[in-house]
Parts: sequence; C-alpha cells; structure tokens
Amino acid sequence: MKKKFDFNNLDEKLMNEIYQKTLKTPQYQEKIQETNRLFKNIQLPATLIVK
Amino acid sequence: MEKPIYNLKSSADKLRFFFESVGTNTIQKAIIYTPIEGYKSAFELSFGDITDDGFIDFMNESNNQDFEKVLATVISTISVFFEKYPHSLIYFRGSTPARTRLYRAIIAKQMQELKLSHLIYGLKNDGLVEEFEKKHTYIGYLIQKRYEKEV
Repeated sequence: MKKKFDFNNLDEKLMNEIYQKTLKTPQYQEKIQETNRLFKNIQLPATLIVK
Repeated sequence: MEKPIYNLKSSADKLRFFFESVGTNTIQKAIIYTPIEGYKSAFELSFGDITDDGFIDFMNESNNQDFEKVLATVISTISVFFEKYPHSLIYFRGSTPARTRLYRAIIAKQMQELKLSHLIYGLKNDGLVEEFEKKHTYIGYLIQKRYEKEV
C-alpha cells in the first residue's frame, strides 16, 4: 500500500496540512456539527466539570 | 501488563497523533481531538485512516488484522492528552453503531481498572448522561480524569 508520507519525517507542518484538509471534508464537518448539536442539548452531571 | 502500541508522533499541542498500523498492510492513521463548541474544555476524540488525498477518513474499515494494537495505541493518547489538558472532558463514539457497541464492550472489560483513575459516562440517545453501565445502550461515551480520592 502506498504511504502518504514518510512517517519518520512527519513534522508539525505536515500534521497541520493533513488536519486542515480533513477540516474541509464533508465527513468531518458533518461529524463535528452532529457532536456540537448533541452537546447543546445534553445536561452533563455535576461531577463532570467542563465549562 | 501493558499492551503493545505503535510508535506515535504528536503535534506540539497534543491534539493530533499519527502512527502506522502494520498488519496485512501498512496503513497510516491519525487520532485527533477536536474542541466541542460551547465548552471550554471538552473535546471529541476521533481516529481514522489517512487517505491518498491526504485527509483523515473516519469511516474506513481497514481490517488490517491489528485492531487491538490500534485501539491500545488510540487509548494511549488519552493519558498524553490529559497531561496537557488535565481537567478536560473527552467524548467519543464509534463511526457506526456496531463500533459504538464494541467500545462499550471494551470499556466494560476494562472498567474495574479504568474507574480507579477516570470517570466514565455513557450518553444515551435521549440526551441523558449517566455513569457507565455495561448493560445499557449508549450513542457515545465521556471520559474525564479522576482527581478526587474516592472511588
């Protein structure tokens, strides 16, 4: 299988490029929007301190 | 006994991790922690394969015969994440209902050990969040590092 990058030379710049490309994909957008929607409507237990 | 994991590379902010899964094939994978809107310190944990086009595909089922090692690698990033973001909350779910059920089984198996150091909650499909119960059905899971002494 073709490798997308040389793992040994994976640096911050390439990590960021992969992330930025991912951000633009419909799959990721849909996933994040679904999570954001979900978290608008849930009530977290007091034991979970997140705000 | 600690499970074997793959060598990881991470971004400086510890929100992105990369590794190579070596099974039937060598597959490059990424784990990312994405901030959840409206919360100061809640993140969604996701992982997937890096595609030929250079983005992460969260839905792909690579079946690379190394699932346990991949999962152990993903789990290992949680402690790294909590070191950097100690009071944060991690949310995760499977990319399919079957995977979400699989995660429930894995949490249930590890629960005795996990609960010593973490709070584990399940998110039900009606939006209720409850302490994890192995026989309940969830659409996702929440994990936070435990700091108080009581268990």
